[in-house]
Amino acid sequence: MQHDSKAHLNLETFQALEARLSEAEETLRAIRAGEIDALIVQGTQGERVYTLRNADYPYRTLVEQMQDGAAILSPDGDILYCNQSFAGLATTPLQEVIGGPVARYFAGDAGQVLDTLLAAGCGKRRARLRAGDGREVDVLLSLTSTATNEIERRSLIVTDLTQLSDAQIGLERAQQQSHAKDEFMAMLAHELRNPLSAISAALEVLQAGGSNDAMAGRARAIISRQTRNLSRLVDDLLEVARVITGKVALAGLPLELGDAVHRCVVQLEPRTEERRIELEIAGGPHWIHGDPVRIEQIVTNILSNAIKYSGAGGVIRVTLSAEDNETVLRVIDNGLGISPELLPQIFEPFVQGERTLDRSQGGLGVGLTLVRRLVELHGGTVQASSDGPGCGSTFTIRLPRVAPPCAKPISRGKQPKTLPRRVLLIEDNRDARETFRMMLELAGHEVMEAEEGHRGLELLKTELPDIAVIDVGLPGLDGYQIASSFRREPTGNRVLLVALTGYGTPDARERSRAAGFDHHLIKPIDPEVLRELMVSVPERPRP
Amino acid sequence: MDDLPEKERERTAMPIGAATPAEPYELCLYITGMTPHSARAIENIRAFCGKHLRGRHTLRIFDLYQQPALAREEQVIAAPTLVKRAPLPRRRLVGDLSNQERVLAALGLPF
Repeated sequence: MQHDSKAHLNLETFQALEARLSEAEETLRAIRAGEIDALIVQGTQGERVYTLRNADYPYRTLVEQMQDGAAILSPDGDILYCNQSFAGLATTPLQEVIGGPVARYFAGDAGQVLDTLLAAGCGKRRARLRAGDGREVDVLLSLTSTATNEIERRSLIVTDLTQLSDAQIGLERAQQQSHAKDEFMAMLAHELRNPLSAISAALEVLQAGGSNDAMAGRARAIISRQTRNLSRLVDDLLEVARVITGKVALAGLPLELGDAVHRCVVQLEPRTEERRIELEIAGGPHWIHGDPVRIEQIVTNILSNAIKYSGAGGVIRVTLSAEDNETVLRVIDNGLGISPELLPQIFEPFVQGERTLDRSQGGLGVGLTLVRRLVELHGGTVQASSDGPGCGSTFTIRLPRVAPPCAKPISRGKQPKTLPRRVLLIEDNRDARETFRMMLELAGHEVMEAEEGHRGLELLKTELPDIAVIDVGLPGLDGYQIASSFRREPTGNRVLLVALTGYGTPDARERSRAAGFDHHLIKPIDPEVLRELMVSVPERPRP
Repeated sequence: MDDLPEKERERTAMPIGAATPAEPYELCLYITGMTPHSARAIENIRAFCGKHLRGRHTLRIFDLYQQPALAREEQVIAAPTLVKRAPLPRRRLVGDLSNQERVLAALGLPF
């Protein structure tokens, strides 16, 4: 029988059979060699795919290592499986998460969100996940239902939205800042227009003939005053840019804070008198280590602010005290106060309180930003507090306290007296030299001059003046060379060296400092700055 | 209405004016998701087709995790399995297709 059928096989059928046999052998070989991942079995319910051990490894790592939390839940919401990220979000050990109800991590409103989601069987909702350590995390819940072998399961994916929320907050803050800058630009235009229109009106008067001497005099006074206002605005802007970016070098000397406060108060007298504001100062001598110019800048800004937001007849109290290792300066006014909304941002750039109606006290809204940076540069802190609008404000500045220097403190006078100084002026521009000389001589100082570098250095060495004001761009030796070669002299520390330049950039200042200059002045010289400088020259032993 | 149950379709145009266009190879690869041999089989068959069947084949890949019922049609009992539907005769090859000689033999191509 078998023999017969075999005899009937033609070549074609034989080849087909041979091919099928080799295919079957090949399949068995592949299975035995482990070249497969799954076997497909036909059951009563249709095909089932049985994945071989380790073949599901990529799936496991995908789920185990993904950054989102993943959990398999029973329809009742018990956690049957979860990945490491889920346990991480819940800040609970894996073995304590599995087997427990997922509702444990969602309280209150979030619990209701979860219940709705579980009841629906699928969907995406935002909720607050309450971690085991009590922290709450903003998350996105994504739920799907699956049925394997007729067993119903829920797959839950939990995405941490913290970074997204942080980014949103950052974006909002950036938008606020951008808005503040827009407002600042508008205000700046306004602030610049006021002095400009006053100047142009005054020029009109002068050009119209100025027939009347008194009138011309007033016009000139207006121009001079408003030009100063303009310069101050521009200085403020430049200053803020420098200070905010931390590009200021501070001189550090022992300072009596009361003296500095007193000098500021004197400068502000015209404004306090005009508004009939009473200014009281209390507290004994308190020493700090700082840069006299910067400290006065801090105090002046805080005081101007208090004056700006005080009504006529207001009272401003300035107290100085020592607390622990700190010297504490408080400026307390009974003026407009600060609203609770504004209070946290008051030191941010371009933020300003309500304006006085006439805008007479304008300003750029950068003063307090400057104050905070400068105080921080001195290692101190500044705080503002207010009980709200109409309740006045208190600004508290804390600076590290230092011991008084051995030398007796300079007695505090009503007006700081400028002693006559011996000044050497090295400047090649004749006009600049002459005006400068006039300014100094009017103030009672003795002035020597040099118009070129070599002569200047020689005078500096032989005369040893109290102070030398040196233009940095000179023929012969330039200002930097003069400063650095003089500093190498045995008497090189006897003279206060002041650089005079057209550049106020941080680089230019740094270059002056590196060459050995004590101060860096920008042309044109403000007589007030010059006066302060003369006052600040320390007494030096005469040779 | 039924979408083609395929994960990927790859068709490359026949060169125009080819003298005797041979019957195109119609290949189906049955895999199980991203399991290691399945992933390797996809890489291997794509490289193989690019080298030996350029311009004269279609390749379709079916995921049995997503559509287990498809296994019945071709009597697939293990994954990955490559099926040559055309030209006849139909042939099957089980495994990750890493051995080029076996693939050539299964497809009836010269070595």
